[in-house]
Amino acid sequence: MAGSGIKPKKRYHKSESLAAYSMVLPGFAGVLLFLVLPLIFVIGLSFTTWDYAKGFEGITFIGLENYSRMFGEGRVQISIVNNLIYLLSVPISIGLAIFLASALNRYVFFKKGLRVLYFLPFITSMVATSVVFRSLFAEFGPINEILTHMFGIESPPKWFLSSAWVMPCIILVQVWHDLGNSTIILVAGMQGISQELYEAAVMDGASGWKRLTKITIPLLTPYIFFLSIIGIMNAFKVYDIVKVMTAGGPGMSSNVLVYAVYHYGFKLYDMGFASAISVLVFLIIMVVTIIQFIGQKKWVNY
Amino acid sequence: MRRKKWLSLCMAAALLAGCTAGCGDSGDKAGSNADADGGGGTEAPDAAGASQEGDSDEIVTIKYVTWYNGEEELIEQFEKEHPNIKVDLTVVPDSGNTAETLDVMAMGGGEIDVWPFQSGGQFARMQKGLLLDIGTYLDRDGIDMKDWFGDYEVWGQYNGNYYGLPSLASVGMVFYNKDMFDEMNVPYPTEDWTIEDYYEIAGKLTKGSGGDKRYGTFTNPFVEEWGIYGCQVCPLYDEEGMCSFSADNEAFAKSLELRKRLDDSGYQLSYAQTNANWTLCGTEFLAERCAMTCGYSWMIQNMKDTESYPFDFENIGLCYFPRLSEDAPMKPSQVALEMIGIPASSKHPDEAWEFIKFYIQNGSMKSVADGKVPAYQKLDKTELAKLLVEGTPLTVEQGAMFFEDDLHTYTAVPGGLAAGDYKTIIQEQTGMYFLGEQELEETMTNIKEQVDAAIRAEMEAE
Repeated sequence: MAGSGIKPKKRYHKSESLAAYSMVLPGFAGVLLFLVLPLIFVIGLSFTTWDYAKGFEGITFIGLENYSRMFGEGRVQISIVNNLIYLLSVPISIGLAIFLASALNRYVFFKKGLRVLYFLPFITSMVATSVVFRSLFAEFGPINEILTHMFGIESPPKWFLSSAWVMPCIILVQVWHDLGNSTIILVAGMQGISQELYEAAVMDGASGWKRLTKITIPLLTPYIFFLSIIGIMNAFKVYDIVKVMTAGGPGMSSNVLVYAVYHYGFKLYDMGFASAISVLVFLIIMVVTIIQFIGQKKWVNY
Repeated sequence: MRRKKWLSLCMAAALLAGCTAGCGDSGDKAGSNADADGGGGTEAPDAAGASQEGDSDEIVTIKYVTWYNGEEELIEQFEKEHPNIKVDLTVVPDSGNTAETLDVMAMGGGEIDVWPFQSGGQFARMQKGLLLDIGTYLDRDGIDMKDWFGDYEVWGQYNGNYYGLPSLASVGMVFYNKDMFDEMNVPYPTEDWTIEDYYEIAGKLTKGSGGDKRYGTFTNPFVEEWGIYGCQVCPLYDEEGMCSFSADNEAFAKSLELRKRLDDSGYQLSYAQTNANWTLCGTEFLAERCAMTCGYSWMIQNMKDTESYPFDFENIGLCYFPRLSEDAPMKPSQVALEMIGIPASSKHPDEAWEFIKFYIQNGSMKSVADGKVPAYQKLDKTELAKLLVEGTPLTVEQGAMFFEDDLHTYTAVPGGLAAGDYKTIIQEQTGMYFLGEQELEETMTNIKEQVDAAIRAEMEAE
């Protein structure tokens, strides 16, 4: 029997591999067709202008013209700034989630029900959320009526119709929407922290704040890292809130990069330039994510 | 083991087929059309009457997408008269994104053959070469656009070429509630009134406060509403084709200032509220929340739709828009026209042309009965006026006002070079002004600088 076991073993391995590849193939084909190829096409398109009427024959190579134009366009500049401001939604959301998760992780009346309630905004359509918030924060909407009649503020802000307040309002909506999801993830993380650590800390006289900052948060850093990656990616991809609530206004004060892509691509039909902005968004997210992965070695405790 | 391998291969193949089922080939792209001409359109193929696919006995299906309901009867009539052409009708919701929905369908190739446009939306598409130049068809069929549409012909035109047929007109007219005027002892407006008279009357008619407030007037949230006075005497493009806005353009300045004054005085629902609620003149006027409004002919559609717009007053007056000044032309009326055209990517342009021609000639009377004003001029105007106001409290004489030949028609919708940019820039800058975020002079200067830059970029690209 010596030497006779190798060939059958190889055939068995090959057929298993074949089965595995064939199982992966549909998903891979989908990723290739709907993600990779369009991505390559968009990157290619960013170096062109495109006259749609002529189909693919209407594509004209113009080199880096779209990219050099991009940084001179006021709309793109404002969009980049607004996206950077929008990043504030990430630490605000995570910070609030930590406190909320701490509360929900202890004995609280109706804890499970509260967790469901806090999670509900996350599963609500962002479009529906945006429509409701737009009504809430209307010039003579409920919020301003309360501010006027209960707090005596004679001229409350115009919120979404004020260039000073529009971005804070959009951030508020995003935080409200994401808070529940962040909280649930952090609650799950907290439940993995050994209670002995807290008991030892209590015995050593550590206050609640010390326990939070020296035990809870350090041990939650992997989850915080995950939430920050996702949050920052979403901050650069924001579109639906802006489209529904403000359409980039007033003026251009709530324009963001993806809204600029829509504006140039579907309102001005400049697909080449819109593609260049898409590539910019892609590069920004990629660079920021790489920086985060490199930086996580310093502050994430596994 | 072998059976397992084949089973897994079959399942994988089935999954793959399911994943790629949606990637249906919608046919050739628009590259089969002739080269684009200098204006931005694409010329029709040789309009000898032959279909692009096969001979004339073969049944060709054209795709018509619209936001209007109730056109089935017209389509049936068309199919009876053209047995080799079938019309595949799709009705999409009339929302803020209708235009973009149709854009994506037309750009996709093969998804739409007859392309309607909401008022003013056609220019940006013509500019970008998304529409077929119908000049060859017009010549072949001996159609004189001026004869068919009068002054409205420009709404199917870009850079000297025609890209579609104007279909429905939105004709501006002031609607006022006579009972409210009588209640406040305010004389009815006369056709020589000016914007200063309009402002004063609006003040006199405003009453109440809070939830019970009745405003003197109402202005729509559309981008072009800023210009319903200024554009009476000054077009949007100057003689050199550049933007007419400037720090010393008094007509535009007065026009913008009036709207702001009406807002600040509380004589009308503010720009902020109107935009937040996206409420229109028909809704506000028929709900008796304003005594008058610079409205449009499509309000008559609202009046006929008593289910959606119930109202119980009958004394409605009509008057022409207030003039910018004593020297401005009489009977000013801002107009905007819808258009129906053929996408450059259409695979059945000949059949699509037959349909849009039929639609304009035969659909106009039905449109009037629905409360819409047709752009087509070769109809009996008395009959049109009668049909237009049927079922509403308006008189035939009032209906006839929408068809008068001596209306001074104008538009505040940009239709020349960089039309899309022009409209966006006006919307952004005037919005900032009306919301009190910037002063008038800065607004006018910003519009001038930004639009001129866009026009120059367009000129260089051509």
